[in-house]
Amino acid sequence: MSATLTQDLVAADISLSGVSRIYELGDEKIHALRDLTLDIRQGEFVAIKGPSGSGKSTLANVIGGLDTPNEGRIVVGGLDFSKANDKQLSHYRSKTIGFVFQSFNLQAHSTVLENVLLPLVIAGVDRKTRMARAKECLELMGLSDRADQATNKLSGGQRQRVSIARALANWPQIIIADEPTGNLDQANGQNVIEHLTKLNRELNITLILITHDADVANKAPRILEIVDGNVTDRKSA
Amino acid sequence: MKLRDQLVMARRNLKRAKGRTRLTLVSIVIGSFAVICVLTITFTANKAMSDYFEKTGLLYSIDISSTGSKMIDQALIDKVAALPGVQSVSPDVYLWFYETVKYGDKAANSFQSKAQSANGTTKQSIVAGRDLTEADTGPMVLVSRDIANVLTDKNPESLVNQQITFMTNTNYMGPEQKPENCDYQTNVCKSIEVTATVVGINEGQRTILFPLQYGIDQSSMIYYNKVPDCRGFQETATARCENGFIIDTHNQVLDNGFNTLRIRAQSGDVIAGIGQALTSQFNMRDQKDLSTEAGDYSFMIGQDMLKEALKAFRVVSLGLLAVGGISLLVSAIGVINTMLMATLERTREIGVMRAIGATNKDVKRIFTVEAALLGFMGGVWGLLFASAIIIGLGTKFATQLGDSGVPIDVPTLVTTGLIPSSIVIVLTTVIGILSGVLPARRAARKDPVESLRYE
Ligand SMILES: Nc1ncnc2c1ncn2[C@@H]1O[C@H](COP(=O)(O)OP(=O)(O)O)[C@@H](O)[C@H]1O
Ligand SMILES: [Mg+2]
Repeated sequence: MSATLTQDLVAADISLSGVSRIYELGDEKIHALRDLTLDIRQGEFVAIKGPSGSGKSTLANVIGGLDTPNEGRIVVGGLDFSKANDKQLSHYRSKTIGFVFQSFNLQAHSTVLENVLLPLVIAGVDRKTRMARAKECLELMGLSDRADQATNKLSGGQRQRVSIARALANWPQIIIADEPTGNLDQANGQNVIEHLTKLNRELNITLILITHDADVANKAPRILEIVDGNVTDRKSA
Repeated sequence: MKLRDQLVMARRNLKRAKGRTRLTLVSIVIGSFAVICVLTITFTANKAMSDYFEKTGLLYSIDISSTGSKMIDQALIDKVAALPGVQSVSPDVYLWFYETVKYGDKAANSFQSKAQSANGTTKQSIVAGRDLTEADTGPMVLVSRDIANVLTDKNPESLVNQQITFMTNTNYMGPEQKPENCDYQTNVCKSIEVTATVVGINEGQRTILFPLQYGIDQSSMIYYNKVPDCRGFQETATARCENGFIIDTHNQVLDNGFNTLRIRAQSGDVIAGIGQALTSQFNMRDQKDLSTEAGDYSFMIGQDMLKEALKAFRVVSLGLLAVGGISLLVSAIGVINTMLMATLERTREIGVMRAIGATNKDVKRIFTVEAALLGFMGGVWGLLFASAIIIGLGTKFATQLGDSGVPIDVPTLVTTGLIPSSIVIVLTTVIGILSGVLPARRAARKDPVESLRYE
């Protein structure tokens, strides 16, 4: 990584206290997150596992500032979400955090490069810098030779690496990957996990990896298990 | 997000939905095309009309004609000329008896022969040769370019200093006519040839102008009445009896008055004052005052004629503008529909954009810019089509219009018509922006988590 394109990471520690997210379906109240308290420090690699419907994605969304809890407090890198406006939260999503989704969520007809450029364009980064940065991220994901291909011509594993490159574009402190291997076969899944953990190891990016696969989870030094919106913390086996 | 990037993104998104974008564009293009054409024609015609009035002096003119009870004679002319604010006056004499004009083997039939003072009351735009002057009294003419074109096969300059020949109609019994050409029972004469020298060519429509004095001279008609014998006939100043004929000389102009009298005012400001003086001193009525009873004369103010002409034109163009405006309105509905569909189609994309850092405002602006771009492109295409058609038709018809004295040519069409009309692009862009408000707001309000889950 060239020195000019590396940004010093300001620590973005994550702190949730008493967070609840309640959905109302008619008269029924669904506690997707229930009085959840949790701290994740800069540079940690945390796996979050749990059965389907246990609240994993909801947790990812509230940490990512996409969803707002009904109760509790979330502070990331000094930003108190409850006091932040849309602009500040968007800035946080832009600069501090990178999302990787199960279903990739790439722009199918755009090229690989254009997909990686998008967060940089949204952040208003100038042309020269963003081009260099996007190429750097693609190189990191081993996709330099695919830059000008349409993403819908790529394999699943390649697509997920494009989306990791996109998440990485704005020099984030945190990457949240919500079941990134869910749509991939064993080998490709393995490969994607390796790319993600490399970012954690080499760039000290906090990695929050959501999965229901025990083998995948076991790669993390810290595993959070969610059941019914409640989290239990334990060390990796 | 930078505006430039938003434009690039908007362009790409519009391209992605090519069919829909084109259909939406078509309606904007039709609307803006119609509006631009109407505006161009209105602007240019207004300018041409005003220019024509200015150039010919009509803008400063008052035309007087008799209502029948009193005639326009020299005494009246002198009094009117002495009114304050009047720069000059000129009566008109119609030389109604010249039917055909010939030069070599070419001839022209439908034109008006008129005599008037060469004192600048009516301004001439000389194209070749010279204007008539007050020193000209004989058979000299100023020929309008369209007639000269016909007579010379489109080489009007070559007519200058040449002799042209007029064929009189059978009622001509003026000074050039000989008694033996006439049937004294019916007072119908043979057509004869009268020649005149062309001193110059002017802009104008189918007119041949003579010196005023010549017109007066030619209006002197001789009538023959067969009587059993001349004995006992009392000779008068105009009538005598010879060889069984009473020969009666009668000058139509001097005896019956001039057809019309034109006043040229010193400036536009004094015209109203002159009009008041005409009414109070000579019992003349302004033609536009329909309520008052007819006076001895009526007059028409040139400025009012221009106003009337422009007003009539404005009514027509407002009607056409309304049609164009309605189609723009319809296209606005098209834009709203297109953009609403786009927000729905791109729900998931909106979610992704929010997840990677786009603010509410960014999303709103993305859709607004897209709608604005639709409007702008529609306007540009409308302008391109309108320009092609207007310049095309202008090139084809400008020379004809120019010959007829209407100063419309392609550069005029472009500078006074098309360029001001291109303001319509601003209008279509604003229509785009306004049509985008609702869809853009809807897109910005979408919940990111819901959007990401949208299939
Ligand atoms: N928009 C919503 N409306 C109602 N219920 C929801 C909504 N989103 C999630 N839930 C419910 O919240 C619970 C947690 O969902 P989620 O966080 O997606 O679980 P996971 O990602 O672990 O499968 C589930 O019971 C789910 O049905
Ligand atoms: Mg989930």
